[in-house]
Amino acid sequence: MRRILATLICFGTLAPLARADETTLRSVAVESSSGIDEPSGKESVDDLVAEAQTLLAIGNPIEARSKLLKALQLAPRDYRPQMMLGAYYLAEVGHFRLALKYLRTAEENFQRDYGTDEEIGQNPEKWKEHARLLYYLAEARLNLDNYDGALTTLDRFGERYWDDWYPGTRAWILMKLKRLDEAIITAQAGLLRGAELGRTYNILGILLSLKDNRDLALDAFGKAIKAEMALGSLGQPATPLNNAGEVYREIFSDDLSEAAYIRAISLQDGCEHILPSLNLSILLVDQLRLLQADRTLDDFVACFSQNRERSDTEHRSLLALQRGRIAMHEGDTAGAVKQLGMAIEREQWFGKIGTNENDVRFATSVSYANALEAHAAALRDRVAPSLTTSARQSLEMEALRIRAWWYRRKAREIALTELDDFEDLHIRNTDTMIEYPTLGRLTAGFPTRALELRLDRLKATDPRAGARPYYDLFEGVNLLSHGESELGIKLLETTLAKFREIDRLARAEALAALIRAYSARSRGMSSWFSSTKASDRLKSIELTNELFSLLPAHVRNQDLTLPVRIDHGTSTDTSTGDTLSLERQLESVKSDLLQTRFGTLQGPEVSLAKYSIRLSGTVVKSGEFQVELSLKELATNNLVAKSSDTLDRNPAKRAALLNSFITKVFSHRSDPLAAPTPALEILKSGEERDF
Amino acid sequence: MLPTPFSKAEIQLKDSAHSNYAGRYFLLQSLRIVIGVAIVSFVAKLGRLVPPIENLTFAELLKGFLVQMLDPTSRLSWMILATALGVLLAGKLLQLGYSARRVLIIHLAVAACCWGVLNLTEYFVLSSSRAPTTDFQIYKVAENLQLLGLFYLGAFSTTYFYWKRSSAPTIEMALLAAILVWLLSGHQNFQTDAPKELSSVAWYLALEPHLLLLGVGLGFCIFLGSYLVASHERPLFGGRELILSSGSGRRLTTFLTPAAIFLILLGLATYLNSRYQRDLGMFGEGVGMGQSGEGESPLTFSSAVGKTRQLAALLRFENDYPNNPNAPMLYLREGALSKYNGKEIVNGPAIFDDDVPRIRPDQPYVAPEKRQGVSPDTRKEVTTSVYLLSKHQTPFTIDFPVTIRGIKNPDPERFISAYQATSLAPVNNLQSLIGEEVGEADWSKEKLAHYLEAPGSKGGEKAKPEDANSETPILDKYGEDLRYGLYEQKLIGQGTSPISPIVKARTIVDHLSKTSVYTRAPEHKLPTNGDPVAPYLFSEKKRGYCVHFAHAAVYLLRLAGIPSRIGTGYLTDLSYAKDGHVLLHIGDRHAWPEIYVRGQGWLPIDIQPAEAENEQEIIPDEKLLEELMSKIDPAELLAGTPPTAPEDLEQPRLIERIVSGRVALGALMATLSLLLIAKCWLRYAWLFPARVELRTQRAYRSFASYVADLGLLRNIGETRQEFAKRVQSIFEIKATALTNLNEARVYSTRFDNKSMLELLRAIEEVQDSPTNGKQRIRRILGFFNPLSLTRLGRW
Repeated sequence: MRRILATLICFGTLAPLARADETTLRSVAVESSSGIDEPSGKESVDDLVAEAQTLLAIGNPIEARSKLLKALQLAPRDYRPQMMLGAYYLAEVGHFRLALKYLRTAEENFQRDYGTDEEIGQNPEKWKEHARLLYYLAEARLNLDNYDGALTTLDRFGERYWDDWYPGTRAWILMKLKRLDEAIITAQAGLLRGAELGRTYNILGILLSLKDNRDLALDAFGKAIKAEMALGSLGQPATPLNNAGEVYREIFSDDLSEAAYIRAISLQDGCEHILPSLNLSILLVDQLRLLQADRTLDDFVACFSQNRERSDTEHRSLLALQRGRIAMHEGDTAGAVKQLGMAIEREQWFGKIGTNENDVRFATSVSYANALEAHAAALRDRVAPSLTTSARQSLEMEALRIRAWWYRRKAREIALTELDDFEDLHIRNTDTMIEYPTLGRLTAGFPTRALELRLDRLKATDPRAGARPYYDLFEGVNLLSHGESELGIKLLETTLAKFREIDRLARAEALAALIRAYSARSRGMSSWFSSTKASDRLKSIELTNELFSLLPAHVRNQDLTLPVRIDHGTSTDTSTGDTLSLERQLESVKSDLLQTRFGTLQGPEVSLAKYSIRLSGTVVKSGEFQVELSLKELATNNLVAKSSDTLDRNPAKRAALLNSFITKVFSHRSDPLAAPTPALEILKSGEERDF
Repeated sequence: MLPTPFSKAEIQLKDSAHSNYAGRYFLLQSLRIVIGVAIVSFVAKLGRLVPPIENLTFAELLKGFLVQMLDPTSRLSWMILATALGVLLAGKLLQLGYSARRVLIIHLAVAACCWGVLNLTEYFVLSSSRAPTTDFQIYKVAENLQLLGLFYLGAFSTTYFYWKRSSAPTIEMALLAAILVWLLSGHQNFQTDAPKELSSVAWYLALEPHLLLLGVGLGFCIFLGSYLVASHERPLFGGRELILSSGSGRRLTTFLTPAAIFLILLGLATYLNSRYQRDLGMFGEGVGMGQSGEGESPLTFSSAVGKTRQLAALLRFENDYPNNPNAPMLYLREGALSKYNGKEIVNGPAIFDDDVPRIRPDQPYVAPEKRQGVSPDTRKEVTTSVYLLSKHQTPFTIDFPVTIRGIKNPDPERFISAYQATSLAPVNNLQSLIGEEVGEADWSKEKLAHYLEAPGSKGGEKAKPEDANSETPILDKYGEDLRYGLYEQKLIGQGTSPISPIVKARTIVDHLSKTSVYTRAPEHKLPTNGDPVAPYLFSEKKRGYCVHFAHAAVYLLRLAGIPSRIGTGYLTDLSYAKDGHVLLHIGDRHAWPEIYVRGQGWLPIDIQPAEAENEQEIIPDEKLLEELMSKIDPAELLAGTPPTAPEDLEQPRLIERIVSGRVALGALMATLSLLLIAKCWLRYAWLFPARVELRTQRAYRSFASYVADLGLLRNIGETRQEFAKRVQSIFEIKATALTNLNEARVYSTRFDNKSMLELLRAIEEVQDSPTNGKQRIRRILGFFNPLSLTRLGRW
């Protein structure tokens, strides 16, 4: 839930600060007009502070900063420029350490001039300033993850003052300190006392969902959404909507989750932040609606770029992460490695925009490892035109595999050391950026006993029916990777039937694991003494066909072989007498195809053939042939992929044709049909519930 | 009895021989541990096995590493320990005469034990475990052990073979050299700051990266040579050879060869340094930093560096620039090239590009009052401060500068210099200026002609349209290529309907953007004095970088009648700015075409290639930016240091306090002092006892310590008398009497009969022994060598 919480920092907690800035800063300027250590000169500190306030209001922050620094130069012991600079770095720049530096100096100056907290609290002119300063200090400390310090500051505030942001912020900090019950009471009490509705309900929703009271959490988010919508253009309803979407996703109401995200994106503040779009994209990838997932990100970029004043630096890492995953599932492994590499390069921005740094590091490492492995598999089927290219490819493959191993190891380490002993194993733990269906490849590296124990605990405590097949998938993949093929196959076969129709990526993952297990069993030593060899082979062919129709790229990414029937087309031109050469050329193409990603069917397997590759060619002129390769689905005679080129004796041309054909065959072509999204219940005005 | 392939006599011989090399053995083992520590630290940093060290100076970086090395809870210290253990154990097992088979069995047994213990522990822990936090505890331990085991095995196996096989150091060094070459290979094509680790160190040390690169190469070669020489004469265990040694004739070779290699390397480094210095102009996308005079150009058409991360400057906005027409990009101009010299575009006379301040960064500048194309409606006053992080010969700022003045350098250790510039920055986008004219109405013919000079513009000759696709140049009477004109006509057309110059310019630039491919290595085949732009423009795939793009665009724009020139400087992405601060890198250096729009002045109109062969974007380090921001924070001095409270600042750990509080230095000094005191005691303690027996013992120790400082030690199996004779034969020190007395003290029960006088005579005999100058120097140096204390047991 950390992400939702952190989202709140971006969307919620700082929002009143931003909204309050104008009035606050004005009040700083007006109320402190008496000035301290007022210097002589053209512009007084009062003038400069007032100008800075105006400049901030009209959107010239750098000029405001210059004015404030000038004021600071004139009166270094005046708390006002320090306080405004602190607020500026807190709200405008996000440089929290510098903000805290200014604010603490401001506090020191304030106390020197006006006395202790008690004395200031009784000062009718200064208490408001003091309250605001404490608020800024608490925010700065909170953003620097100094929760105890922030709470102490808020305690100082709470002893003397009250404001509508106070319960929300206090509840938030208490939650960060894992004092959930206290946080819920704070938020509830705040609501009774008239706290800011949108924010406080939003925080309450988060707290309730953390306590597994998801129904109540959704009600709270509903109220938060309505309260934010009531604020008109100042409201930020996309935040609670996004949080509601995450809760729906947690309870496997994917349709409602999708509806919530779509609604969030369509709102005025929907593209101020990437999270609703990113969450939607993650949801769509789980359902293998890859083109839609990609379009969602494109729409976000287009929408965000309209707001030229905002920097998209922080978003780029998350965009690259998700684009990399999509590219991998679409069959563009090189693109996936590039995108995910870019995401890792932008590690410095992880956790900056409502995400937990380690969560994103973990998720990126897992996906990067998967992409590296997929790219190594893709390189294996690349036809090399020369021996040197082949040697280079082999070296690159090994290097990619080592890197994949290393990143997976790193990810496991992060999970255990930085993520509360792998709390993210809890399926759809929505504060993560994890691609849960493919997480099994990572957990395969854990010892079976330890993983089983953890999964048993989770299964025992997790009431969500939708989560169970995922836990079983992880367990099954782990069993298979530790040589327990009988148990693994049995578990995965039962799991496969339990997945919902929309859990397509998870099904693809289970299928791939099963195919590998059946293939290994049919080839392994145990098959010598067993009668299951033939049936295992048949089973693996059936499952590969199913996997290919579900997610073509997965066959290649998982280094599997697609069983096909190879048909020779007739040569249409025999007049030049080069037919024999053409036949040789076609034979050589066929042999290359069978050495790469395709396998032929023999004996009883032929009846299982679902796809056929047709090779045909014509003689263009002596030594030059037009060769065409096409893959068709036998039952429907639908063309899946086709490539053609003029070949001669140059092996590079033949390699290019084959590589282009393989890439086309194992690329994502179309998204599955999606069901219409239902209406969101939480947006309907219903009965009031007590929290 | 340990199994050994040698006879007793051989063992004795070996023992004796090896004992002569005890010092060498100790030295080489220490060296191996040091190398191991360096490799482990490097691997740990590269593989991110240790937490990153946040630092801004090299000292902080070292301090951070030292803290991690000394901290027993850090992984680095354990990895170092495992490596050191591997080195020491390999040596020890070999000294004990363990065979390879036995060593292997021991290791396999230990590994099996570990595996068994881990599995058993896991079984019991998981069976009794109730808390989820224990589920993966054993796995965590196993993973860490695996890592430590890898380091241990690496250290053990290499050390084992080092002491067994004469060829091992050569193989080791070849491997290390190959790895170093692979690591540093990123710097090819003049990318002197690659790899990133190297540029970081250069940055910490405030050095030019190429100097560091050369230093690393030279240092490694020296180390390599020294290591090989030191390893050349070493005891070998278990092999046929007892000692890998060389005769005196070869000793000369072993000294002269590395010396000669060193001299050659030094010469090579000096040559490379001068070459890098000369080719500084090639840095940064072929946009050099050298100040070029009239008729010269800082641009080069080959060896583009590409996106190097070497820091160039920190730019700070002093006021907002919301109407930046190129947002989020920002052009910072340093110079402008406008003169076509028949081959390329170079610096023109000062009378033309009068908006370019031709000054050094430390010189003040005030623009001429009267300036064409400028009015408050078309430009906005923007003030920026620039803090230079690498050497620049000219200041750069937003076009165009009104004033430039030097400002105080806030941190001379970090910044080279600083200046503040106020510019009149453009606010209008070219899209909004579609109908505007180009050039000024009152420009002289000469000025207009200057900005319209391009290949083929002089003669007025026309080529045939069918020559447009010619692969070879079609030259006019001035030797200029007429294909540029044909290309321009093909793009713009010769229709009768007038087209706005801005539309023409956009058409040209859009066409080049769509068809160009960005690459750092265009690999154009150029004849001597050939046109460097033609291979880019007249090829099917237009491969090149900004220098090619800008030249081609300016030629075509000029041929279309649009006054244009090339701007040089930096192009940066403001979306990475923080609080109006931008970190500029050398890789941000750029050249771009500019056109003159009436009433607006010079405006950039840049090519954005649709395709890129190399990565173009540099991701700035935000933490570094924040650190540098705090260095130039004007409030730093004014605001004073805020009170530190434990709630905001993490308390430094004990190790950190030790390292940062100079305790480590103090401890080192104290240890050295103690060792020195011990040495003094050893040498002069015989003066104090009244008892003859004790005094004899101390006097003999003093003598032994004295000769040890001269480099002589008693061998294993050598009696003290034999040793005394050897000492006498080598140094002419007469110690027989003293030795006899000492022997008597040890073995005789009737030592009490010996008189103090006898002892004093014996001591006097030693003291009166003649010493030459060389011995005296060795003795003095040896006195300060605390390691000689470690040989105490052998006296």
